[in-house]
Amino acid sequence: MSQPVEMTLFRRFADAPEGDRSARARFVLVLLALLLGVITVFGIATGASDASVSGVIESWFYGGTDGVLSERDRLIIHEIRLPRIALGILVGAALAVSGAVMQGLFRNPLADPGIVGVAGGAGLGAISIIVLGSTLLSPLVVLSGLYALPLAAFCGGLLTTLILYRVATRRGQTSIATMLLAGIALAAFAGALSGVLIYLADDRQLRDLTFWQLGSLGGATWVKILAAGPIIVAALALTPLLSRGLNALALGEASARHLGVPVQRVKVLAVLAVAGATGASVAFTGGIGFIGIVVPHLLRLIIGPDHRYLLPASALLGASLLLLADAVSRTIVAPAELPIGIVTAVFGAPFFLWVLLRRRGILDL
Amino acid sequence: MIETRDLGVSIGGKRILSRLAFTAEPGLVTAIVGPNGSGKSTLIKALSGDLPYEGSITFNGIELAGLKPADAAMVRAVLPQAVALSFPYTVREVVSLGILAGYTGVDAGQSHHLPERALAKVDLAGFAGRLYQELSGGEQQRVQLARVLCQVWTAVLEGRPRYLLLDEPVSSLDIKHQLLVMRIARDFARRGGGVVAVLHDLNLTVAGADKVLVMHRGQAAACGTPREVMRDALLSEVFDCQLRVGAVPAEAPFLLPQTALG
Repeated sequence: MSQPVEMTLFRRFADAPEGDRSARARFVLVLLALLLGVITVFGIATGASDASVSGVIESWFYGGTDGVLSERDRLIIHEIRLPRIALGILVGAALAVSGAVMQGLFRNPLADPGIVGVAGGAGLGAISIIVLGSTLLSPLVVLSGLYALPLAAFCGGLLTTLILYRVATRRGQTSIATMLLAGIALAAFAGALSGVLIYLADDRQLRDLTFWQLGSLGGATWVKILAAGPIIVAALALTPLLSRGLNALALGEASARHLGVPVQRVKVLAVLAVAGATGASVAFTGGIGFIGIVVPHLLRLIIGPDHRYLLPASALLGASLLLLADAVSRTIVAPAELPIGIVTAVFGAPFFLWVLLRRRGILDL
Repeated sequence: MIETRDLGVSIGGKRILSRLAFTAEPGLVTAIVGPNGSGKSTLIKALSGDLPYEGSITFNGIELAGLKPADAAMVRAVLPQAVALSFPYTVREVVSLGILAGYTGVDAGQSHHLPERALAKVDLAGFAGRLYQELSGGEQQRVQLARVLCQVWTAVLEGRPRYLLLDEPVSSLDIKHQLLVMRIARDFARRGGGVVAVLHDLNLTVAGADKVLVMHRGQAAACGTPREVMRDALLSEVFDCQLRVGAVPAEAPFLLPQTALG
């Protein structure tokens, strides 16, 4: 906490009471919002077509009536880049907040929907719809239409989270070791069932599935955003209600209850929010890993673990980082595209190992 | 007043407490003593609302089982034996958890200074900016005490009867801070709060408690003033070893183990 950079950056908060990081956290929130704004604008302006930043901004402010952008560029921006960026913001925020909520719930900085099998369960739900949507599960697809895919992923994620919590919790105490081991088992089981479905899939479905599993923001459309957006926004809107409860839960379930927190309700809402946000994200973008670990961990180093600030900050930074990863995935092998899941894993996995190295004996907690 | 009647608690089919009648009044420090496994911590957990129970537990006349967590938090604060945090909260942030808005009636202006005042009380002035995880066990225990003080202190000062339930509050503390914690408990009681504390040190109990409940095999072996329960025969039987009560000076009883260590 005494790095020189931080000292200069946060000197103006020197008069805040010692140990109170809320002023700093609010300042960081503003910075993160600005960062997301900048990254969004550049995301809109970069890509295979060469519409410039100024062109894009001008077209927004002046309606673009005098041909600042060509009709082709306008089409590219409105039908390809904007939905892609909107999906990136939604999914990045959803993954990061899911990670932060899950870590608060399990009282462990390594809990993440991707690691403990929740994303795997959600993936199984999504694969079921992709493969069986036109046959066995067609009534479901007819009934829920556009929402069949995110709903199935949501149910898969919810079921996995519930099993996980049930297995890992004895007499109100969640065992971290049991949770991680149960997560491995659940992920493997979901993977096996997904494997069976993949075995049944035809060639076209197979190709869809492969790219979907690697994770991608490509193929984002306004229709998809209409399907994923409401679920993710609803799940994220739920999380501010949880922040005080998650803070108290850091002391353990009993102490949280002694402080007046309705622990059971906090747990149920947290599980629903994580399953909703993760499920809807996984349904449309596949396996994008490590955002949920990296983002909350970085933020805890800067603003501390107070969930009142950690959750919104995670949403902002998660969205920014995913847009950045998407920019990398679009440019590094241009004009082809690297699946974004590969990008986040290449940066995220070493980071995860670094966290493990810094925190020995994590299983003893 | 905290009152239990016919209190029974079983854990995993095993009877831990049976037919326990016990009261703890505001204005008094009530100590619970007894050998390992006699049910002291189970009694504190039952009073905290952590365990299902038979019979009745009332706080100021209201049955505990009917209280929502938020209502129970208004009436009593609980100090657990040890708390490990998995995230890097500062000491101030931990203590501030005791002031969950709306639960204690503390307004924002007042609550701002409450953590510092509580920390000064437990001899941790200047620790607010430190990370909780980097403190020693004894320091962590005192931070937790500051947190539970924040939860009920203001209400007690406003004249409403509130209770502190302390599960071995001095277990990791040096002798100076053991005495400090007992002083804080007595101060809390003198201002109208009630304290129930599980203690192991019988001499500290005599010095600090107004009332002592001696537990033996899940039941009350004796309950009274320290002078009333500090009897050779009673303590020797309950703790299953030879003990003798002396008095130096004449009015302050102390305990001398009679079992040879060599």
